[in-house]
Amino acid sequence: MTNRQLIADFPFVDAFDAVRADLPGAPLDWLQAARREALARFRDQALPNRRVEAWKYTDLGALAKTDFTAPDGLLGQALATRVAATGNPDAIRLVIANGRVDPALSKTDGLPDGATLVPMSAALDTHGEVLKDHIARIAALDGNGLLALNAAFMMDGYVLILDDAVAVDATIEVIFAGDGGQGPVAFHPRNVVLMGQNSAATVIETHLGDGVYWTNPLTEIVMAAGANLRRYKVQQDAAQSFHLAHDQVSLATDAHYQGFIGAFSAKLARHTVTATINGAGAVFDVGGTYLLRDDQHNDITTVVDHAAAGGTSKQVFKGVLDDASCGVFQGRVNVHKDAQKTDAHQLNNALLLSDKAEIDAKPELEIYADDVKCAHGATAGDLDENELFYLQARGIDGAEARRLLVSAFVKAALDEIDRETDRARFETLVDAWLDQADG
Amino acid sequence: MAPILEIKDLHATVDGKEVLKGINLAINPGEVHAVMGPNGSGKSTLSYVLAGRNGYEVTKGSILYKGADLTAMEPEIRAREGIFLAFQYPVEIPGVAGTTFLKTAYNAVRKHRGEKELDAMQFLKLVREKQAELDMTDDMVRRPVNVGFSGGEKKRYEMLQMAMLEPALAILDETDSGLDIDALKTVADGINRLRAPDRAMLMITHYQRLLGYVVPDIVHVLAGGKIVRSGDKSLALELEKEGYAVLGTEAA
Repeated sequence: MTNRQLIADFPFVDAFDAVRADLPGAPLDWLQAARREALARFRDQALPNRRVEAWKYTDLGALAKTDFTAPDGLLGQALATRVAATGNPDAIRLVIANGRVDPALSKTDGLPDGATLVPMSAALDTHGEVLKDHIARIAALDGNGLLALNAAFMMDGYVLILDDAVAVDATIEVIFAGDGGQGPVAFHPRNVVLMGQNSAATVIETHLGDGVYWTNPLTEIVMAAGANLRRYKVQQDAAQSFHLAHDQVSLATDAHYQGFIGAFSAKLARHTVTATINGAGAVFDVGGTYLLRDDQHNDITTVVDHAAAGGTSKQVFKGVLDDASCGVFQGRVNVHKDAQKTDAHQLNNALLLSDKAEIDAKPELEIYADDVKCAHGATAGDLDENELFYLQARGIDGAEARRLLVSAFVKAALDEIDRETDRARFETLVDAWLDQADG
Repeated sequence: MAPILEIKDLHATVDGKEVLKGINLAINPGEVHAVMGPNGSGKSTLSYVLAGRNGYEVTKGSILYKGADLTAMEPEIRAREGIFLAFQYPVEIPGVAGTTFLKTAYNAVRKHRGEKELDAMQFLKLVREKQAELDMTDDMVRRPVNVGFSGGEKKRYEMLQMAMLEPALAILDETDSGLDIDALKTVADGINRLRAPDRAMLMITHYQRLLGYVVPDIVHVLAGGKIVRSGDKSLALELEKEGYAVLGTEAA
């Protein structure tokens, strides 16, 4: 034990031997070994506490005190109905309920040849050899207890594999539902996206649920040369839930990742996004918005490594914080010695609507190359009094004027989403959030 | 005839500092008044006090608008009741589409007056009609409020808003500043079109220039927070010739 650990005694961890036969890939010896090693590492590492630099602003104390058990996989009827109505019902969709695929709510036909979309549990049977290296590498990641927990208890998530030059035009929907209606549950989705050269896809992930649950998703994305991925996340978890996500993206030459995170609800959420640019012409673009109220806590932590010359990274986040909510933005860009001609841009703007709201922003640039263009900025402030008065002087009432201005502020972040239909989805969610404020 | 606006012994502070020091002014329906004065005389403060801006506090005296106490009203209520302030520096609002802004304002005012709100088609037709009179294009009306406008375009956009909202009392704060001669004529035409027997206007200006196009009924000279002289339009010409120094006040 060190003084940087937060001890948690989760019932589901103690029940490892009882549940492991039900976890995906149970017959695979290599996987069983990896799970056991990861469990041992979690027992050694525990959870990070606030003395760990990267966790200074996000306190997992409330999470550590909750008695999470392993879920039984079923959703309550009301939640199942909501899941069925989420997103585009005609889209290719995969529903992961409490960490297990729900075939009744999923529909994966209609993909072009050379494109595979399956839950992890099935992929381990059909693509075990392909996945083995990736899973082993993730399992060996010595990050923190959360990664170790995911490696030990890895459940269903989506596995998307695209052959070279395969493009999926339609937006793929993946819905993660958590149901803590029968008591707090924890689940650990694992997603793997392997993109061949010049392949292309768009994925929208939606996270929602009921009651107290903890989702701990880990996503690995490997993009070959020229691959193009749009990945959008609607994080709309239950008011008392915990969402701790970790993404790991690697980009080869000319690969283009366009990510957007819309954080709308959870008790505590953290989105850790790590990316490595390994080739010239690669573009890593991640943006988002976090809309917080009550005592919600949202943390966006990004680590972008420019390991090759001629790469571009762009991050634009807009946060709106009301009541006693708290936002964290930690953005780190590392430009390695050989990564000349890197273009890195990072921006976090926070709008504080209440005196009790708090934003902690920590941009960090570490640059070892000498011919680069790097810019970062962070602002925090209230609505502009001049703008408010101008609107009111035209007869628009104070509340409506505020709404117009907050909406305009947030929607500037949505401009990064290039397709109209995808952008409209987020616009609707932003409007719904603003409507709740009025009510 | 009862005045639309009746100001008596008005004292007002900005950030705790007294700027208006006893203003008396009455404007009747159909009249156009000009308030002229040197920089720092309190002209813009007067316009903000009338529009109800935060931080502009009335410490003494009274303002009656259509017989009611104006100081008790929120800025949006004043606007709906028919007070329109054309800003000296119109505010850019990135992200708020001009049409959304105009429609929200228009319908808020209509609703307050007990009139039916317009649907999108009816609204668009009306805007098109008014924008043509001010030489404005669809693109200018649609883009985010005032964003990317030149000084002259901003003033024309103010006139468009005024034409749409049909105020009972229009306060024009330095509407002529920053305009070239063509823009000045367009804006002046916009103002003159709105002159009506049931509408009053208060033009605040440093120079006589605009008054050559929009001829006032009465001219007031504001200096040191008080009206020091009032007269007909010839007073403006006199000031133009002699300068504010002839007033012999401390604020030249």
